[in-house]
Amino acid sequence: MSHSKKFHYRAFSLNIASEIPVTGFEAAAAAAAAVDVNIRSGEVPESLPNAINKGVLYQSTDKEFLLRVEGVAAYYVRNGNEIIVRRLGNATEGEVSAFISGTSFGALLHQRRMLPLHACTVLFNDKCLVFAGISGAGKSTLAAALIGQGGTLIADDISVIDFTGTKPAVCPAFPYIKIWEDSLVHLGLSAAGLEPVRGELKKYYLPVEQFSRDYTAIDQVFILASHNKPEIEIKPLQGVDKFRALKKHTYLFRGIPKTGLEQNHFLLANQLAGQVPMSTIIRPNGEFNTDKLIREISQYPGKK
Amino acid sequence: MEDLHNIVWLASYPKSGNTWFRAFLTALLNPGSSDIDINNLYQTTIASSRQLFDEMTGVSSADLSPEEIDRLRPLVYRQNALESEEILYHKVHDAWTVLPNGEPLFPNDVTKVVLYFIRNPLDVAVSFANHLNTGMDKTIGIMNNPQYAFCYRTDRLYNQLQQKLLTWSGHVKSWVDESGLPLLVIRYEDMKSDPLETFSKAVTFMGLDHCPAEIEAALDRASFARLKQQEEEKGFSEKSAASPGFFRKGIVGDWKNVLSEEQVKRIVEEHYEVMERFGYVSDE
Repeated sequence: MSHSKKFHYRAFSLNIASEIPVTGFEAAAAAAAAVDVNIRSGEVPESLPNAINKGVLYQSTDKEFLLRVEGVAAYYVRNGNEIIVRRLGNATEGEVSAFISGTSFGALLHQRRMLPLHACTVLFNDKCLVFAGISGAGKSTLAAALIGQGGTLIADDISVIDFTGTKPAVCPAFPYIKIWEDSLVHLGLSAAGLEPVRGELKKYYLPVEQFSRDYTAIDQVFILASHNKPEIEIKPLQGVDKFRALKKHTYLFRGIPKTGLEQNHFLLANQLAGQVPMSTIIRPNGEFNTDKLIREISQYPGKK
Repeated sequence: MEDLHNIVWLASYPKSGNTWFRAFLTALLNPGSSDIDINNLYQTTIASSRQLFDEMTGVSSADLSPEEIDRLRPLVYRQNALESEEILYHKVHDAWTVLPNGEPLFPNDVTKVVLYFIRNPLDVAVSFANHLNTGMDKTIGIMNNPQYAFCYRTDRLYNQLQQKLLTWSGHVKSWVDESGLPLLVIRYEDMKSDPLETFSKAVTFMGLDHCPAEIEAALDRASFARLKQQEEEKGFSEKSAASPGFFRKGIVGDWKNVLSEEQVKRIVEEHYEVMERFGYVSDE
């Protein structure tokens, strides 16, 4: 993967220079401000000798994160400002890219001492709504449906919380939603012409025109889940349950325990829990009725 | 090298007594007189949990192909075993299969034992049709289909990973004959007719030490009637959305009231060998 050409992006409020194209990230002018993150091709270590955390495909310390996806690429993320990528086998650029914008950036954001939630964020009816949830909860489908009804995307899949203003805000991520064909059909959209995330998966990058490039103060965090009952249930979270939910839905939390990053996470998640209202929203797990869900969300929490 | 043999697989074709056993296990491991909560059963995370996979690997399984996911699943269980100092219990509906690279989906080196729950396929069909909320003929077709898998579609995301079930007979043989794992077969019918002896055997086989009084007490707290009553009062999170109820009748031989002669014939013809072997032919 030898690119003499450099790509310049802006994502998660960071200026990124990359030798490798990253699908979904928004192109930025080359002469932009100082580069925050460099992405390049190169050799990556086989392992981290001082690894504090290990999973099946990753190892991590305070400052380093190593990910190896067999048949795709190895990724070495360090110091919060560099991602070195070594392609494995015949992986396409698109395939290599999927784990840059996902896991690698998740690790990088932790290293930068930011708080990345596994969540999408949409500005809807002038309210900034964060929807956190496990894979399959319906985050991206709901985000696309909200945008279809006039909402503005702030982030899909990873929502980074910013604490520099008076209220916690979400950093604009990038103007794409990763969405499955089934959900596109449900929303009356077509996969024709969309770039697939991986060759064999019917999951696509859906470009979003209504995208906000501003930090947006959070009005409400919803924890999105599903159950086998026919009704939608919304319940406010209080006290330590708010922190627990934020921890559970922190992107790539397992990469940070026992490091300095965990203490940082604890402080940030507590700060967020203390400053924004949070609720669980549970939808029926059969047919995904986004219209009905959006009606409930619009009416919540009612008149203050 | 560390001994990782600490996973107990609670394996079965669907609707064969697995959840009843998990409720019993919950009662046994949490002694006391209070009711067990069916919506908070002892940690027996289903082996096909997407969340378990994503956490253990560090990547989103939603960005991986079914083949890539399968190849990583044994590593997920190994990691899971490595991180736990206690015995882990995992419910499993997958058949025991070997991956293209020759590695079994459920590796020997992390397995403590397998409890394999089996039930007369004629009764399974009745209960499974209720679970899937689909017609009996279609359900029998599923039980006879060697390609059948849960969560198989590639155009949408499920909460669980794809699980190959094989046919009902194929499922039984994969675990009992092919896995080579230390395994105890537990017949649903024996759980019903002689609970103390049947559950005691299972407990001993898992290497747990409990006296008959403790086992009786756990059986009482996890009785079918109590589980069903709790579902009626509070619902049960593991029920499929389409199904009217998870705990239906829990009886032996209900197929005689439900299946047509033709439907019985379709099941028996396909599964005669395994049915005979486990004593499901004589009661016709």
